[in-house]
Amino acid sequence: MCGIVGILSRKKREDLGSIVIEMMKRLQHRGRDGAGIALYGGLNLADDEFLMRVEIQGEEEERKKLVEVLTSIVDRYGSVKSIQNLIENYEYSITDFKIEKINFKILKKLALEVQSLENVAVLSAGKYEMFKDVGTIDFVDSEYHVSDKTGTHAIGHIRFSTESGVDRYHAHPFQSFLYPDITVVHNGQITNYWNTRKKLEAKGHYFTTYNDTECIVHYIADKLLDGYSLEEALQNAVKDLDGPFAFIIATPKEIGIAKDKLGLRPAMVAEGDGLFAISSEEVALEPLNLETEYLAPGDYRVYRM
Amino acid sequence: MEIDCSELEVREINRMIKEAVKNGEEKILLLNPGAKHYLSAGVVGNVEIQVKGSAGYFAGTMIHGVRMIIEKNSGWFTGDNMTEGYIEVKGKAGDGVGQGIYGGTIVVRESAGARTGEIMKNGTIIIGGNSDFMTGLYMMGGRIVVLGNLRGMAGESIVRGAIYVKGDVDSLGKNAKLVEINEQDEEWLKEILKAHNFPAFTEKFRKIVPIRKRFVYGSAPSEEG
Repeated sequence: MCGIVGILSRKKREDLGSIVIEMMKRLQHRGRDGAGIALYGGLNLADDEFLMRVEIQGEEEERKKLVEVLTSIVDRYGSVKSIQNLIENYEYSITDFKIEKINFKILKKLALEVQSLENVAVLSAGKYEMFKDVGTIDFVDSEYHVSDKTGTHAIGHIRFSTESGVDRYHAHPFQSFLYPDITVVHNGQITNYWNTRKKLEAKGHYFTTYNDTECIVHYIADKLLDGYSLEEALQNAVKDLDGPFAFIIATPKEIGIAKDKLGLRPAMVAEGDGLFAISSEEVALEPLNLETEYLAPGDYRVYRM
Repeated sequence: MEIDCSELEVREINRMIKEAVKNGEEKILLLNPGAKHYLSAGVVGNVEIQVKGSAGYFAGTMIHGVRMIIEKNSGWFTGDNMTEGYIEVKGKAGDGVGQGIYGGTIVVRESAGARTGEIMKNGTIIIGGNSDFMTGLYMMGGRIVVLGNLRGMAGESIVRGAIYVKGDVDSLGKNAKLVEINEQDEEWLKEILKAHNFPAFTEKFRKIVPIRKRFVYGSAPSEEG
């Protein structure tokens, strides 16, 4: 079933993290397999600075060695500014590498190299923050303290697994390393996944899972790289992607939603006072007290800062 | 009687409603409904339930005899499988309004989502605005009245019943045809529109009916049957 939310504010908000968490809590009944958020506009990075969030598996000594390997790789592409463990336990860590003297094109190469290492997975690389894990939104919030985060926009996902594995890598959002800071959350199934994936792989898109949602982010990234606007990319997605779906895309300045042409997955949008919100259900929009609208089958919307 | 829904699970709310109906309560106000699902599910009795806000999915599902007023919007499948009673949504409604209803009346003051009246067997659904994709999908009886426009594939696989529409029809579904209304239709429309506080003008109304009336197991023929 899954639940999806999106929120965009024209001004940076101190309470953006707590808003998106509250919206997601209200959709918890739609699944308990995982929860994730991509949050934008809260990192205050310089132009040549980026954040790479990785999961490092192994016991403490093994992880220390992997951090050394990672540091040497990062230093070949740019320069490590800081390293911070967000989560650390006996079997893995979630570790942030703040990297300077780098641009997105080079970051992309770095992320793909790091992704190929054994016992290391890139959770996000860019100027936004990704928080995702198995379990409930309360658990994810208690681990990552998303409620305390500031920002301009965010998308979130409550997972009821129907496709692929139930672990941190298969929780949404998914991102592309080919287009800067693009992420997706999705409710539904993409039934022409394999045909779409083959076409995208032939064009150089790199898949990290067999989850059908990942296909969407590469599809949209591909269209944006070809010069389409987000509206045009979403319009094409409704035409080209089969199956029941509603998905939300975030980029550094936008959030957008598209719904399948038969209208088989729910989606509502709401706006007012420079705030734009999207949700699977009205229950998540209630606290915002905005004017709501049901999205029609085949419809799509984009909200910009 | 008032029930503050803000801190209650839906199961508790519905248990309280049923208990109140059993004790002869005739009017119940649901405060802070928070777009919760299944409000008033399966309630049977002569009672008015006012929802002071939005309701979530399956509002009033399987009710019998209840009068339910939803002050704002309602989610998917409003009034699903109800057998008798009245549901009024003062705002918008999601997909599947009146899915599979056997009787009663549902009024949506603004627009409704896709598949309004899907597999409905009898009863009446009135939509004050537009009704989306596949309105009357597999419709087996009863009447739908739409004061706005109908989006694509209206009346898809309809076998009995009628969809009255005042606005435009994007396209018709399989086994659906668009015809002029007759005098009886006009009279009925005037009466029902007036009764539910809509302008009782029947100009521009047309109706969608089945091309072929296939056999339906055990169904009672509706007016169009």
